[in-house]
Amino acid sequence: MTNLSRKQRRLDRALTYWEDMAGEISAEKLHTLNDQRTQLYKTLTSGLQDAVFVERSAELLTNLYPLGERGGYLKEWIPLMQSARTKLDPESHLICQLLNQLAYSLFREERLDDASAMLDLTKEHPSNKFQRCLTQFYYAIILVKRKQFHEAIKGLKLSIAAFQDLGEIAQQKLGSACLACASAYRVHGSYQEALESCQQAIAAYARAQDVSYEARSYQALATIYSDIEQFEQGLEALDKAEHLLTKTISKLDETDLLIHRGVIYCRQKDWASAIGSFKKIDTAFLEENNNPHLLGYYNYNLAFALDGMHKHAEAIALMQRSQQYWGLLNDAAMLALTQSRIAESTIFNGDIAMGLVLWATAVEQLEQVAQTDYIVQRRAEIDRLDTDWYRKHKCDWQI
Amino acid sequence: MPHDIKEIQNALKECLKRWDATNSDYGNALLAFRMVQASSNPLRSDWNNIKQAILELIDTLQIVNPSAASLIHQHYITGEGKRQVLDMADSQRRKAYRALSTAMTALTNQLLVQEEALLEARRQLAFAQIAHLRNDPLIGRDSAEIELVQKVHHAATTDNAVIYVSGLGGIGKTSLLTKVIRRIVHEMLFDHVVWIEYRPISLSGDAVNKSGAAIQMMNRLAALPHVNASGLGTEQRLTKIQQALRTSRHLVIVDNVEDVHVSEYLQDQISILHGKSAFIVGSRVQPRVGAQNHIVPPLSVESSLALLRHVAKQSSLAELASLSDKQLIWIYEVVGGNPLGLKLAANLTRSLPYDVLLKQLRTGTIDSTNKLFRRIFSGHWAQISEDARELLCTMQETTEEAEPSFVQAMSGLDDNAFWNAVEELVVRSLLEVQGSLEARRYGIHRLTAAFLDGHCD
Repeated sequence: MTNLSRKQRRLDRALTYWEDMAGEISAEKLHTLNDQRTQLYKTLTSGLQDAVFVERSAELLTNLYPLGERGGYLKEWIPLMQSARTKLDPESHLICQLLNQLAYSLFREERLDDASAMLDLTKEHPSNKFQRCLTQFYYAIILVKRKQFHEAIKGLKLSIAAFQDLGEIAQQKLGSACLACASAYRVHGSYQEALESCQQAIAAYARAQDVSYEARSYQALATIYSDIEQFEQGLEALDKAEHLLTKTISKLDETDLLIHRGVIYCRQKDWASAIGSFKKIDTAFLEENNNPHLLGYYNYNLAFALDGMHKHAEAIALMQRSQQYWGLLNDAAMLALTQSRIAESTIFNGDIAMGLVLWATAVEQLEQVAQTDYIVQRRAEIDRLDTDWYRKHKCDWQI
Repeated sequence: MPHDIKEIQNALKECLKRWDATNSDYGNALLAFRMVQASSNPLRSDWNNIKQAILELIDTLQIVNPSAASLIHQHYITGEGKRQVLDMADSQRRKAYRALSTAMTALTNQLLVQEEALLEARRQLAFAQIAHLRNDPLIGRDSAEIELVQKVHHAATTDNAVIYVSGLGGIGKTSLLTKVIRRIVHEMLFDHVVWIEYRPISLSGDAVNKSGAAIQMMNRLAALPHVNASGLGTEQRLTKIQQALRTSRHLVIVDNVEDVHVSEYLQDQISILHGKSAFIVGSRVQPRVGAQNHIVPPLSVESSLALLRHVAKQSSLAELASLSDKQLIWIYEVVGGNPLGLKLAANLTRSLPYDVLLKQLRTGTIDSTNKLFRRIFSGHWAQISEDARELLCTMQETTEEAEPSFVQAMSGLDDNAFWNAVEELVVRSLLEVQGSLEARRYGIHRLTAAFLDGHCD
């Protein structure tokens, strides 16, 4: 390092600054990363452009990856990872790790073909057993995303067995594979298998001492229990998640749990408890954090509960607000579903004519997202409401 | 949207009167509520939400004037006819009318209180957005300031206004803009103010391309909380931004544009963002047809002398302070009325006798401002400490968001050396201080960065 130019020495010190950040994830580190993300990007870019620092910059990038994943920066790091991949020595032990991380980042962006292509490239570079297992696991989750259920389950089972073989070092990934398996089983309607996979994930994350993901697995368990209408078990699972997060709970996790709890109460038709849970949520925090996903679900589910309490006007207002967030997320299915709920609430609220107009729009939207069963199910309810209301009020009231 | 309280009061009364007169026609009256509510929450744009807003207001009114709240509720929410409401209020028609009139005044007052609170909150928010900008005293720019303020006032009432604030590097475009924008924010002429300091160095280290400033502008607009379009595809993002610019008035400032291609591309992008919003571009180059051009001229002799005296006092430059106007004018004759040039040249007297400084500045033929700056910077470079040089070179490689702790780590200076170097450079106007006391950031002028290109290895 003594022959470095002054510019290189500055770069060396900048890399050291960021290297100190890599490793364990903490709120403070995430905060620093968030505040200086373009500076980090610039340091890494400069590092990858200087032959002296390529290997070190690539290593820093791979080490910072978990922090980037937690902070939501994977998308903007894709070009850096691609640059690192091409600049590293093909025999470098880092390439496989980088390709796996790149594949996962692309997978998260729904670029499944690109992700698959990166995984294919791992064969051309030196690897180790852990990275090979990871490649296999990522292939499997791509299959889950492509709804190739049987192949996906087969791949996930192989990954689970491989991670189990690897022992202690792979417990965190074992948890991820089990959780992915649970999710695939749930989508397929195999609830018993989904529950078992969830329990396996919980045990693996506990062994890895990853409290955050252990809690997340309990939440997944709660969702499955709620699917099969075992609400008490679902709420118990949420209690466990909350208990696990007692010491480290972030406001985002807390909000997520409160929404989840509210949803289970809604499914139980315990509207008062559901509203109680939703009202505990700090909406100002959600808006500050600009999280359309949670804001959408918060408004939609609170509206659901208010509808249950016959507060239809309030429910409609909240559902309309949730539509703004589904629009931002391009979630056509939730947009359609919400539109149909607005139609029903409008009818409940006494405006049959407007409700039926809204229902017609909802049907069009639901058809576009192939929710035909749901249309049939709700149409019966709409007809019943329509008839009841006319009988009772002769419908001479309009806004 | 009117911002003057009196104007709002009149508008509200008029709407309520018309609402009362037509009874079944919600449209006119709702206009008032739309006006008030839209300023706080653009999502409240449909009847149910507005109704909810009115209900909230009636709840508050209930505390101060229950009978007024009850009348308003019956009339506007329950939808009873005026006659029925009056019958319920009192059997004596005249008394009942008075009661209804009092109720409406109470509601108007309630709305006004809310509107005033909203205005204040929005003003605070707008100030927070420009809090990071430096707030130096502006010398010799009174008429330029008034003229630019008038142009921005005019822009606030026209659609698709684009104003270029152009002039040479160091002439004080940013200082003038900062001063004017602070005034404009206080007047609340715009609903949102967005300041973009264009950085021509791309993150990927590639050569600067012409779309850089436009991309930064679109990214910033997309990331505004009320636009919320960061995660969307190009087309959807553009639609969302256009929608936001149509719905409320934005003042978008893009500062530090230097290149003619960057400027032209930016102007093209601005032209597709049709809306009520106004754009100001701080640029070294002139705009094409379609934008107003506000040229920032060099300071007059008198203003230049005033600036030099201000610098001498502020930076405790004893020799400079002791000079007569006749002597001080010599520095103006070499540097011209360029504020940054004058400040930097004045600071050179810290370690150079005045006559030596003048001699050095006059040596050789200076045929462009850039050459003059290079000469001035060379003077500083020769005078500053090794630590200050290291810090300047480090600054050139950092982004505007880099925390002082990072800059220090990258410079390799210990605590003492780092802060001494910061002070040394700030005093010489080579380092700009930005941000609040809690989150202070440092930056260097683009001319300084250009000079450093050849001096930092």
